[in-house]
Amino acid sequence: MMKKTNILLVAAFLVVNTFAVPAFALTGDEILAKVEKAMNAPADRTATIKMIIKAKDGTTKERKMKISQKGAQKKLFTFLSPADVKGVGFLVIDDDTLYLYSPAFGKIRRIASHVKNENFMATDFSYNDLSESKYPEKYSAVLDKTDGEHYVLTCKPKPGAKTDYSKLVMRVNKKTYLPSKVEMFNKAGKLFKVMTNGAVKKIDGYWTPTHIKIKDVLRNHTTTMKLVNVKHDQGLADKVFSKRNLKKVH
Amino acid sequence: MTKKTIFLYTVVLSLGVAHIGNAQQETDDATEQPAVVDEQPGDIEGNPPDPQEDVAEETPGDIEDKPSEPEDESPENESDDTPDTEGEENSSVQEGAGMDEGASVEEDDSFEEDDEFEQEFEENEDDDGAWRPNISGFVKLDKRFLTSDSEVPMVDFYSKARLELKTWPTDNLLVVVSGEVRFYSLSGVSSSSDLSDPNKQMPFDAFPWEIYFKAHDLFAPGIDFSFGKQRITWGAADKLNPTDNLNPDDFTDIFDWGAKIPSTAAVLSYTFPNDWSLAAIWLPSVRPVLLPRAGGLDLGGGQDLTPLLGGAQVVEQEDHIDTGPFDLKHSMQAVKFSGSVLDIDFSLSYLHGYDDLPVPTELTITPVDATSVSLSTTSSFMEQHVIGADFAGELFSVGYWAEVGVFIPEGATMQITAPGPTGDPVTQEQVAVEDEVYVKYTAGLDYTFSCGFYVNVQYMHGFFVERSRDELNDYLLARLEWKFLEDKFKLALGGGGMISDWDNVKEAHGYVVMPEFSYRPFDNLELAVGAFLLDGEGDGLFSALDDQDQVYVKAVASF
Repeated sequence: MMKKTNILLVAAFLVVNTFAVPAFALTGDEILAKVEKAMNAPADRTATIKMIIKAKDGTTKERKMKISQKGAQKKLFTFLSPADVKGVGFLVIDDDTLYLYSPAFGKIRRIASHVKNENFMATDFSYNDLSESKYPEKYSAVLDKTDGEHYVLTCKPKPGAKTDYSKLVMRVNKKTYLPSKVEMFNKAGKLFKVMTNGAVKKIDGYWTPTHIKIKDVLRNHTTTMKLVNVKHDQGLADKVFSKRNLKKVH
Repeated sequence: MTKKTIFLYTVVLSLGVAHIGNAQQETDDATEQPAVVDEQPGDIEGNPPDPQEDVAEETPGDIEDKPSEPEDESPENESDDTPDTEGEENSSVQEGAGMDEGASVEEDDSFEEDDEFEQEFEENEDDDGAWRPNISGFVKLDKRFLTSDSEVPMVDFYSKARLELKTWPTDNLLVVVSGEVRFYSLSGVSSSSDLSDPNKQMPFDAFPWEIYFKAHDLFAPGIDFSFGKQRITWGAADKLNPTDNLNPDDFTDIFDWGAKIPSTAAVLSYTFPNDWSLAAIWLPSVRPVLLPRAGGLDLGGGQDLTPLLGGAQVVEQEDHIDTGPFDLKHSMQAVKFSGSVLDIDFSLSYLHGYDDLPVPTELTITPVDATSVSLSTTSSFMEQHVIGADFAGELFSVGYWAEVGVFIPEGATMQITAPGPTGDPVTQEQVAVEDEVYVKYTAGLDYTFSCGFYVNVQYMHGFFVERSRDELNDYLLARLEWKFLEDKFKLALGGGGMISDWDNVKEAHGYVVMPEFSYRPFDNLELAVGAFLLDGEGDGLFSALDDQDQVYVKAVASF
């Protein structure tokens, strides 16, 4: 009887694992590629964003802006409030080409690399966080584990890749292939930031996180982004992501 | 030091007053969050909100509403079923597709719902806001105190407020109307009768700032046209731009370096598909420099009039500025070509126009009686051509820029008519403006250290008040900034040195130190204290101002 039970258990285990094969068949890099694909699935996206910046002492600040994105890289941010940053525009053409428009001066300035790991407009996002998009190009991923709903990847920079982080631990939703949580470790190997995606909704056929929170663990400082009026695939032209338009939208 | 240098410095010194400006703030802001201004919330194209625009079909806040997942919607199945979509960028089918629109997947319940934001947004979407003007502006209170004894103290400091209305009547038309009020720290009371005059008690100036429209994609895509009183900024350098000559100088605050005022212009530009652009600018007439209320030109044009006066006393003085006829010949024209190559942004420009600072071209000394004379001066704006170029990029993570302006003045003479030995008028001619080419240039670097310090260094040949080859001096300017405690506090130390004679540096140098401590208690408000401290030897700009040391307190509220 005992032997029969064991055989049944072994058989059950094999069955479970047989059905689980497709999941485990994916390597970390393959999952990361799917993450990339899921994040940049729409041809383009627009949204209005409210950012709530919460400091260590509990005080909060609010920012509102519009964002347009095309593909993985092209992004255009326009601040709507508060008044002292209203009209400031931020254009990402690719990882290395970023421009900031300052309406007070009517000037567009290229953002040099030394600024890119600085916090973007006092938020917890660095310029790099906002411009970086192609995880598989910069990181190699290893599948650490999987549970009911998530894969857990450890991503390390590929040789020669310029990154702000020494390691990412990414929790990926199996259904949407969107990262639900990303832990970012600084060059010293310390946990630096934690990004959490929430309120993931299907909009225009695309899974879209409408709440994104990033916490600077070292400063105990948090920025939460809430997205409304999200639209996809509107056929945004390349000219939207131009210096001309960066000035025009203000 | 040439006579013309003396003349120009005299102009600077004769400003007599220095208004509170935001030289420092603007330098800061150029590298961080700029203060103030406008913006019309618009759509992705930058167009005004479309009242018909639909608020997505998403269901905000329905995080509890999780529909059941069909088995075949698993990512693995989809992946297996549609292998040909693997690797396709921007695939139109996302992993997990198939759920109802508006479905949600709850990943983290730590987010608070924000119905207010969504409701506010929906209200704006419902609003017919096509003509809704966007109102913005700032109030800048600036109080300065002289800290050194001065024979001619600059005390006409001012605070200011600006109000701007901006609207998009149609998708491709922007209209901007703004005005500025400058109100002075000191009253203009000088006699008992002034005590009942509110304009003397509370002197202020109010004037239009920018009033213009801009049409986008006029005639064809990529063609923009703007017309009206507008600020046209040129140059890659940080605030000190030798190619930024379309708008006249605002010399009302001697420490607000490079300040300009908007002027009437028509700008026709075409942006190529690769984002390079070509712009043609026409300014219908000469726009003169703006001097402080108590300022004025040296009517002698820098000339030593003592021998001509022969000991006579000047009892009358009149001057006339000839702005020239309002015709095409006296208009200004410019073109500019901008682009990017190898991650370097560049521009080339040409301007035919007139210097905004008038130069005396006629001086008549007329005897009134045996011991006194009257002076009559006519000043004109000097024609010039300016060829400009600039570029900006980065090298080893350090931002850099350089800008050069080649000035080609037409040259002019000054006719001086004075009584000769016989008492009859005798006219002699002197050079008012040399027709020799001179070059101004600025080169700079900036860098942010990992500890948060920001450094900006610029070398400049030819300050904004200097004209002609003999007058150009060499300046090295730097600014160090450090923000701390949630960026609420900022310590900044700006400063610069100049050499007016490299053969005699000890006797021909000057420097300025500009410390500032600012505090942003919350958004839209900045409080600051700072100082302008100058010293030097010789007749350079900084040494000439060494008795104008000031400390200030400043508050800027934006709305």
